[in-house]
Amino acid sequence: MVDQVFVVGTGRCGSTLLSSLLRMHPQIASISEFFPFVTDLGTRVAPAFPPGDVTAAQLWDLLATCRPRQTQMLRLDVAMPEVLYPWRSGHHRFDAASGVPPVAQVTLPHLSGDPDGLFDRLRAAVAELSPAPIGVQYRRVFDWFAAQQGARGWAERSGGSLRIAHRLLEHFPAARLVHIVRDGRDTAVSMSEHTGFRMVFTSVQMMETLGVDPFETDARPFEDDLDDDLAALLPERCTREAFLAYATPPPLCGHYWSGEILEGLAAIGHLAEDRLLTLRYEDFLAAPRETVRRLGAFVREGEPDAAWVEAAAASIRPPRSSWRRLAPKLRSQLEHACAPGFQALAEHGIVWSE
Amino acid sequence: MTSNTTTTRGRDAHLVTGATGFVGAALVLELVRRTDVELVCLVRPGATPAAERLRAALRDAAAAYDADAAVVAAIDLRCHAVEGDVVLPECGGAPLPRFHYDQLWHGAASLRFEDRYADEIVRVNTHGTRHALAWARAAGARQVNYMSTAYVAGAGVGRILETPCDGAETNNLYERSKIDAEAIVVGQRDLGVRVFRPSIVVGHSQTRGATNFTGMYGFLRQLTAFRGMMQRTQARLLAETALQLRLQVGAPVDLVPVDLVVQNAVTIMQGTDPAPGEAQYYHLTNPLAPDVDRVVALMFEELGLCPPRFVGDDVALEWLDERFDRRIGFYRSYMRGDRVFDRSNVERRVGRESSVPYAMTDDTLRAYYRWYLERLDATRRDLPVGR
Repeated sequence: MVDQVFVVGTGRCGSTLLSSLLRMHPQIASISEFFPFVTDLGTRVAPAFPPGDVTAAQLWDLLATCRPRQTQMLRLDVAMPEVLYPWRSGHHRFDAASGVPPVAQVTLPHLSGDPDGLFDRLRAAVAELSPAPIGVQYRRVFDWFAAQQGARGWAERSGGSLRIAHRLLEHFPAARLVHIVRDGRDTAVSMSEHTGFRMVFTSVQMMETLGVDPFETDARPFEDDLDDDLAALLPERCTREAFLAYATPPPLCGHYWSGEILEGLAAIGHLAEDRLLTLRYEDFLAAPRETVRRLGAFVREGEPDAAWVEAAAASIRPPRSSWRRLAPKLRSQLEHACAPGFQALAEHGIVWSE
Repeated sequence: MTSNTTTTRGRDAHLVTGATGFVGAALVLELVRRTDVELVCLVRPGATPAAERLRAALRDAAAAYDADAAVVAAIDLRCHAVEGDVVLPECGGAPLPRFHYDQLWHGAASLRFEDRYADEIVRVNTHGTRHALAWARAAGARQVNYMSTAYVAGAGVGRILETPCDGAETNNLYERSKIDAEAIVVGQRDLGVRVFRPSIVVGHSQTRGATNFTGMYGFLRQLTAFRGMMQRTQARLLAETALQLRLQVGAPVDLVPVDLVVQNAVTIMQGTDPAPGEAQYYHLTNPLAPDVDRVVALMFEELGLCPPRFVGDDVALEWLDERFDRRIGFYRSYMRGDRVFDRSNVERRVGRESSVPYAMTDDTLRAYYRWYLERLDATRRDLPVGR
């Protein structure tokens, strides 16, 4: 059986590093950022996990139909740094005007230097699939990616996928999980600087205020309830300048981080050691070889390839964002916001020293 | 219902602006119920014909207020739509049915307050008042009933008299525009003027029904949206964390049911007309206004939120408190200030007994909230799940 591993986390917790490390692994296909884009940054979670059997056409719609939120980010030139598809190049199939299909934003270019070619081959492969539950369909796609790589297993890693961990466990009963955690304060600071999280937070504020998703409908009920700054981010009038000027405060991200940790641990905290490995991002920095080795031993049982451990450990670089740079008041607010998350992690034996 | 017809001559008629709005529709129904005049309503051009939109608005209001069948039946017979817009000179100058026009009820207004709507607020509320007066004058009307707001009092506190605005500082563009509009109305030397100043209008006193959802409803909606946003951020945060709100415990927040507003307005109109150049002021308010802390605390309770803590300006807010405080910036000025609206003129005209003070008990407030939240929740059912 093909190894099935999901790397889950809150987002901005160092999980991209794990994708990079696993990409170097000789026997694992590293599948990156599949779910954030298929779920349109978490706003189409339910449609991405439909009930009942899913046809090939329905699956392809999930993988390949460009979503307005993602296209808006390309058009405003505020795409998140994780996006690998060369949409600005001028000689690839998709660009800001056309939008880039969800599966092509990161997943395909992470696997291949020819994302358009891989896109075509994937379309042909998906077209052959018989109807099946969505978990089976996604697994078939991931297995296909592994086969394309000549790998014996796959590890899917999506930023923020702790949010859907319960769905992953439901739809992939044989999968094992790596939970990557990072100091919530650094995570929150990193979220606050990230355009993807800015899009998520502003979308949520607009949705909850309007009562509709403004990226999915032209209706604008309760538009007057939006303050001037948020109203300026409605898709029909948003500019790059307005988007970049809108602050995503670290304390908001800290509360979000705590919420994700609380919900995530409730979903996966019960898993046995052979199904769940929790790793601290900071341990990759402090003890790279040992931590990479633990990762390798979990994703492919047994002692990991020594050359991979060496090469992967050597590739690790320190992060740029740090909560310690914040002004005292903001630090205090952030620590307050992160406290519930730290407490929940501590109850699972995961702690940080000052 | 007729539109732009000229088939009837000589019947007494009132002109109405804002008839598709919250107070306006209730007012038209009250006029239908208690007078036999024709009602000629200015309705903005739109995708659907003006007459159809007027009929729909009045029928919605009639349903929300459980109006008598006779009133509903009379909508089609006595309410006439004229297409026009207060932002245009003489409201567009569309021909009017040939009635004898006596009174203008001017209620059309923009209830917006945000800076991005500054032009619209002035265009509708200030210039629109000028245009409505010209429209009425051209039709021959000599009495103006202007629906202003009690909050032309601005930042004023204490006993607010039924007198011309005293130049108090205003809290927002909306209040400023209504003060300017009052000045325009009372400056008409050839017209008798009644300035009606309702406070925060809420739904019907018996059915709780409403057709427009600003004021109290807007605050409740902002709280609902904030709850939704924070639930997506951290599910139990607001259920377990007491928000701190800056408001003045014990300050009255003047909530008045829409049916009582229009009952009093029509009763006053049926009395002696003011002489040309004379302006009369009436506070259509509730002498039994509830305390703002009770109003807000019950909202939190109804939404399943941790009871809020009420603090003064000297207490530093936490980040989460500030976040909510920013959302309710517009409402802040209505949550403080010992302000009592004098009602001497209303009581003199309506009679102390029938000027209907309305007790906002906890159960009454809950009933209002539940009526609205049921409808609001129905509009939010399709919001995407977060996980």
